[in-house]
Amino acid sequence: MWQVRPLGSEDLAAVESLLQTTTLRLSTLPDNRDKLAQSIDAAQQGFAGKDTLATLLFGLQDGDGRLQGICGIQPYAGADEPFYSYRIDELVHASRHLGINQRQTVLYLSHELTGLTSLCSFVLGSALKKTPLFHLLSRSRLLYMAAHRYAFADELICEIQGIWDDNGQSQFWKHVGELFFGMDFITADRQCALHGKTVIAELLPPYPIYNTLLPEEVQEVIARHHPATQRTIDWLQAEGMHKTRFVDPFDAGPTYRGKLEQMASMQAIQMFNSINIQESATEHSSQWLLSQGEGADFVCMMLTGYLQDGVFHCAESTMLNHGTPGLLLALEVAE
Amino acid sequence: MSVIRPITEQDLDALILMAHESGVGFTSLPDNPELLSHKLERAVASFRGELPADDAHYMFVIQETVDGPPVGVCGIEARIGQNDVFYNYRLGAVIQASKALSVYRRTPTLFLSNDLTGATEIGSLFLRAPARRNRNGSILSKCRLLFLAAFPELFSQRVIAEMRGYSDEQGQSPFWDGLGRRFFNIEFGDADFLTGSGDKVFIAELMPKFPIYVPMLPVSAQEAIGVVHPNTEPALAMLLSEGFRRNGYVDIFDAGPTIECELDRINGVQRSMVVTVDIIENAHTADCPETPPRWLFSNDRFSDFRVIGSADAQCDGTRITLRREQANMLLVESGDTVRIMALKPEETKNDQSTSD
Repeated sequence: MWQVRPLGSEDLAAVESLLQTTTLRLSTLPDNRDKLAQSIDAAQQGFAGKDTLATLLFGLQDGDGRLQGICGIQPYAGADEPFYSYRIDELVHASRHLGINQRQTVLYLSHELTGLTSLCSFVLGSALKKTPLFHLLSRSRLLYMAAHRYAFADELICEIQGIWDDNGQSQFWKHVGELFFGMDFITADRQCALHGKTVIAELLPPYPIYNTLLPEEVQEVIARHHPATQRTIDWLQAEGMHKTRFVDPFDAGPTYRGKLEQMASMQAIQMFNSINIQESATEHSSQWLLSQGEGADFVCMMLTGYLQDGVFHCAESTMLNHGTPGLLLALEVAE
Repeated sequence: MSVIRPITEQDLDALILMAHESGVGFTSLPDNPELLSHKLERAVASFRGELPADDAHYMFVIQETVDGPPVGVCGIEARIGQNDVFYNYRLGAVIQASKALSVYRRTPTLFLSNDLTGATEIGSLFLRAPARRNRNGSILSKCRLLFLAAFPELFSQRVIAEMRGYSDEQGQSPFWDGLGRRFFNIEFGDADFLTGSGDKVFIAELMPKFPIYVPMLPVSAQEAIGVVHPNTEPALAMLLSEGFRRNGYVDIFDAGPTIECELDRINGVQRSMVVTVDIIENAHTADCPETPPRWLFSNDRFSDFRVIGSADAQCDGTRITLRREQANMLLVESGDTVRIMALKPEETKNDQSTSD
């Protein structure tokens, strides 16, 4: 049975090999064994409630116990450091005298999103992305947050990867960040993984950037998402998150934002008091996400069954404990 | 022998002609009779002392003979940015450094500034092509130094000159194309006209207010920063020889450099001296037209300021002997004082060495 659960140190090798298969940039999951081990350790501290700032990392595991996906929640974006974005804003350069009126788009470095809860570190193979497992992995985080509401901010953000070319280079970086770092995107990305994104972002140009001074092809990629992230965008929008004026300072990918309580899934999550495993499905059965346990014991799975009088009736034999409470989310919500 | 005098109302036609000839890139002489007329009125009022000293704009014209037409013009703005806002870019830097990342990066950056507000500006120099001979350009330029030396109380100690920036044979400014034009789509020539027309402030207000990172500009624009127009190179060299230095400011439109010198430290001001006039009547004209002037003489009058060039100076350090013709041009009599200045800094040295 597929399930989502906290990553543990025993997953290190599996995480590493999974990261080999993704082309997405994940500064929270560095391509470096020691750093990765540290991230997983930190996450475990987070699950144990000992580090409230740590990014929580979850693994998607198949019936044979193999790791097939990863996702994460950063409870407070930036943790104890500023969280950097560019805010897209407009200035009107106007002269009544000369009869000129021109809008200028300007990128302002911003810390506004610092401290919001960030959905991050999403890794899932493209084949699995098309299956309901996408929802199991993405939305398990909402179930975790619903079960540990106190540990998260009222607002969520999700940074979406921007446009990169076939060589893994970002035109936006090339014409903005690279001017100030003298290093290409891939190198900078590696540095992000090693030193943390904030350390790099602190070196970004402090003054606003006029879009009009960027080449047209660079202006065009600002706030555009990588095609590989389409599935995530569709989901975020269905949940009620919206595209913001904030973009990633590295590749100019868009940031989505929404109130946690207003996420469609959050509103649909129900508590049930007990689980009742039965032999066969009934006509009431449908697909559900079900989670149980706290912190490091959290587990989330996809089940067929129905809820009646606070008892979840499940057709499948599960490893869940008979008679224990949990959280339920009907899978069709925000589909 | 050429003579320089304050501009008068009668010079409007000549001024219009020169403005037309000066062309694009010469912001201080817009090819627009109405604007020139305003400019002229202001200059005339300045020499009459009808304006507050800080608002004054002094314009001088050069004629090749006493009763010849004006063939060149130059000016001194007493205090820039008094009635409007004077903009420049200051070429500074942003440093990004991280030990952890082994990054140390200096990014040249243009900061919009009004820092030069209140400075005295020498500018508006134009000499008609046929008159570009006999060191008329030098004389016209340096007459301003004599005026500064004579009336320092009217001016700031901070004296600047904005040098015309680089543009190509077609009048295209790569700096403008790379920056200003991105903010409002007009040709450099038009922007330039607008600036000369007194609308510079309006244009400047449309320009980006935040600092501009130089590496974000096209390479051609980057390379034009602080570069003077080829035609301006002699003027730049001349002012550099007078002690002016680049001060790190450039024009917001064409990125031409601003140069600056403290009034008291301007070489021409320092090497000028005031001497008493003796006149010899009926002297032979020593200057044949081909003899280039090596000296400038000016009177000490404000409204009737005059400057002439002279091939030689019969001066013992306190008294100078002028020919009647020269005295008439300078409007002086025996016993009056004049200020004399070697035309070039190096010629002073030569003279001193020969007289020792």
